[in-house]
Amino acid sequence: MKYQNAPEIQKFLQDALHETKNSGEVCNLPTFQEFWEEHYSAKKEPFSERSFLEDTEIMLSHHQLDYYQELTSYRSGLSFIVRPIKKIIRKLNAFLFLPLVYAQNNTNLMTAKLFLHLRNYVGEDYQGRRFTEQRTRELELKLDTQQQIIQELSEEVRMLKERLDNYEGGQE
Amino acid sequence: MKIYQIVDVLNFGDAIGNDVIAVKHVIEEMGLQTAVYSESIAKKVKEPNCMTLEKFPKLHEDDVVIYHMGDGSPINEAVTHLHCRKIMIYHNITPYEFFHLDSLIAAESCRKGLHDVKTVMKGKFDAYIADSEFNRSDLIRMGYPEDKITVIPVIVPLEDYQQKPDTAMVEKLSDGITNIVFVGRVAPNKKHEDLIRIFAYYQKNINPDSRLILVGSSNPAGMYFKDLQAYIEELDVENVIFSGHISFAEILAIYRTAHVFLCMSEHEGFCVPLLEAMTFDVPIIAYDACAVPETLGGAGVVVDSKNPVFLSKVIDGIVTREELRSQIIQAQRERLQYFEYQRIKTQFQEFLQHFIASVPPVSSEQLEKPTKDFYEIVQKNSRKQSTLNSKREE
Repeated sequence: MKYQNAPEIQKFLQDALHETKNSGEVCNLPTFQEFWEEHYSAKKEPFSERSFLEDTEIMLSHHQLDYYQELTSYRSGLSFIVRPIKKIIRKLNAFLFLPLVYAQNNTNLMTAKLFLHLRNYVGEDYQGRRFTEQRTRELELKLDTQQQIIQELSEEVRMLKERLDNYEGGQE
Repeated sequence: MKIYQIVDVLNFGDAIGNDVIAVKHVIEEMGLQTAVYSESIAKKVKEPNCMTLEKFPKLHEDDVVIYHMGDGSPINEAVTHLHCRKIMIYHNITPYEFFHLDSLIAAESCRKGLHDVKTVMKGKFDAYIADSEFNRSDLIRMGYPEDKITVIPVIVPLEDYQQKPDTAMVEKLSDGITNIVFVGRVAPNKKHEDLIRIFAYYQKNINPDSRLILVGSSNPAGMYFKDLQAYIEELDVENVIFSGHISFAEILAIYRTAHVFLCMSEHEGFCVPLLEAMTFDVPIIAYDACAVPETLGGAGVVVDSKNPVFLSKVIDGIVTREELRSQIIQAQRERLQYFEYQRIKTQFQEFLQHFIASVPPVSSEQLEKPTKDFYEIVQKNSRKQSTLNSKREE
């Protein structure tokens, strides 16, 4: 069901619209979109899509922390004592750090997922523009060839015209 | 038999939160036992029998669950696993594209909500309530059965607005300056930027003695609110006031002293503030989008353009032409009768009575089936929520 303004309100709006058109007044205030683009799109640092895609790829494969690192000892002779001690310490502290590692891994995963979306978005845009650029290049090439042909034909026409002029002048 | 309402977040003063409380009162008036369960409950909510979801009880055969659907909550799918009679109240979901300007978390919540309602929740409820015809058609478009959807507007106890407004605020705003008001949380779909641009033009070219009051909470983590403030500076416009979270009496004072209610929102499933503005005889100018024209039902002034020059003339006409103003107010008063509390209450009660009589309770075998998913998700989320709350308190 389409809801409409009351007839007298509609007339009031029509008059206001008519007045707006006749007055020639224009709103020159920047729109929010223009403001936003000016603030966020104009960047001093050029954005490198390739680096972004590469870095995201690395991030996607390295976002999880390994909570059981290999236990080592700098003094190889004492490693048979140091390693079990370290193991015990690790076991005793596990209740403290494991939940933190899980939580951090979760956060990392979320961040990585977010970047995956961004990468897909940028990638899609990048591929789209690459396709456009490729088409533009092909068309430019075609244009160049056409211009070359036009130039050659113009030259031929000029020469033929010259010969015709010479005939008319009774030189040949 | 007990009727449980489940909502993702029970906020104080927002449309869904108010609807939950209103529905609770309506059910209580029917003499039925009822309670509200939510993942998190705002501290300001003092309503009895509102509990967090971890306290959700074991269901009985004849219990009914009413689920308020409005975002991408983790419990959307879990609720579908409950073995009982279920009703979904569909409040609509804001298209997530709007939120890319603001917060990725909000955008993700909307995206998930839309995904859930299109997939895992479809066909899992025995009946659906839509706040508006717009919401109803939205559900039908997503493949929900027409015969199971009933349109019942949001229940708004309009007599609450007869309370005394904040005197200090009334005095402050009754200073001869034209007050243009919008009420709604600061979110990109509400298009505060359009309100600001239109107001900037109006103030600079037509009425320098004017102010724009934007009532509603904002997402502190979002970018949109900060950008709006920077935009106001860029436009060099004065007297734009973001009220932030204010008391109910202060909101009443703002409505009481408003000259025009301007709404440029591009996505509304119902838009309760329109009813509030009608209650206070504030002429409404609203952009023609989603459920807005339906809620206005031919009253107010619905425009299909956001041209600041045009809208400034419209505002000026309504502020200065007494006859036109009275005409709009009269039409709004008539429209408001449609949303009268008693009327919508009866509609809801009749619906519920019919539902209870026509949808049989679940069998005891069905009831015995495990609802592990629901309780697991609830526990997981309540842990997350309590951590978040304690962090916030710190």
